[in-house]
Amino acid sequence: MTALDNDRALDDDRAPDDSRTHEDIAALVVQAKHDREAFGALYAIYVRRIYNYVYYRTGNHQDAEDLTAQVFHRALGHIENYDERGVPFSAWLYRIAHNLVANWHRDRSRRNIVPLDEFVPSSHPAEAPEAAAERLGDEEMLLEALRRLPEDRQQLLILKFVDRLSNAEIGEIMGRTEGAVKSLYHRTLAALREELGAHAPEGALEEQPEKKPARRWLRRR
Amino acid sequence: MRTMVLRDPHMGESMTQETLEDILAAHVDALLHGDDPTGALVAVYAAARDLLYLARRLYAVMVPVEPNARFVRQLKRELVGKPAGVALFAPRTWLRAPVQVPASVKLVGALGASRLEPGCRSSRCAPTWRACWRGARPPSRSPRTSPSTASALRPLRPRLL
Repeated sequence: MTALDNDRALDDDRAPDDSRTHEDIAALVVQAKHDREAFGALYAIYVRRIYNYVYYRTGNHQDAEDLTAQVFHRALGHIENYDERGVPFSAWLYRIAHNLVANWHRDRSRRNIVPLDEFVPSSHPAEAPEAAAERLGDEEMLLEALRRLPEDRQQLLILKFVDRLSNAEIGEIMGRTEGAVKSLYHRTLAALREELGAHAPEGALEEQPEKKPARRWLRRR
Repeated sequence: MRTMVLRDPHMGESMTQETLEDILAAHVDALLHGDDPTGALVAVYAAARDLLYLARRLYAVMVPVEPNARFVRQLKRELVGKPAGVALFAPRTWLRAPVQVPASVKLVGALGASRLEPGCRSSRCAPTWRACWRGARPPSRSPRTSPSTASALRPLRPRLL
């Protein structure tokens, strides 16, 4: 491989093919203990998921980038100690992210920082201004309520809706059984409903849900 | 009464024909045994309706975001493309200015301090700091020793006793 090819490989930040099996990932992890290129492949697989997780926990892109970088630097530094028999690699990464985000929240609450940037995660380009304002108000209210939830409930909703993980995968990350995750999901929705006073309007469930952007790299395995 | 279908009806699954048949059968069985679970059933499914609606709203709002491509590339370069020693000096442009500036000042300060004579860390050498920076020895009343970094930093450590 020439220097130029190497440079191109480094600059290839596209989401990787999501067809890797659990065994492929395990082999990559073993290789990554002594090979930075293999770690780069793992990075390419998980960077978007971790970024999304951190972004929804922090609410702004700058801190999400900073913490995502810390997650992967820490993972690189400790990958030799990682044991596949314990938890899957993805769960290990999420746990690092979870701990760093928890520290970040603790530091912020000590320093009493008020965020200046807006938290508007989605964009709908072809939308009338009135409808957009109404929708943003609704979204903002929902996300505000989400951020007031206890940490484990926020984590569950992000892993479920943003990272689209199964209850079994979420259980591995959160250290709970699948049944406990299911139960927590129910309690979380019930708490949010109490918080928002949300009742389904007549005919609401018969409407088609909004179209979502492609999530090729977030597809469930 | 067969409670299987009532145990967890709001986990995001829409009601199937089979589930509806189970509910109706359980309902009529309960009626025939002298119970009337109609109110409870309606309440459970009203609650399920609200939760299903809320779950769909969350699904619509919590969309994945795409990280900045430059950030993704740069972090990959830092993790893979360059040795760790060089990565220290890589421009961390994804950090915000309020973080970058103090970090740069601290880094430059630390590099500067490492070039100072060890004796310059004490307050009595403060006036000659500039001279020490240029490599001149600080004025010293006692013979110059070269204490280790640990002993030079000892006064800064908190006292435990």
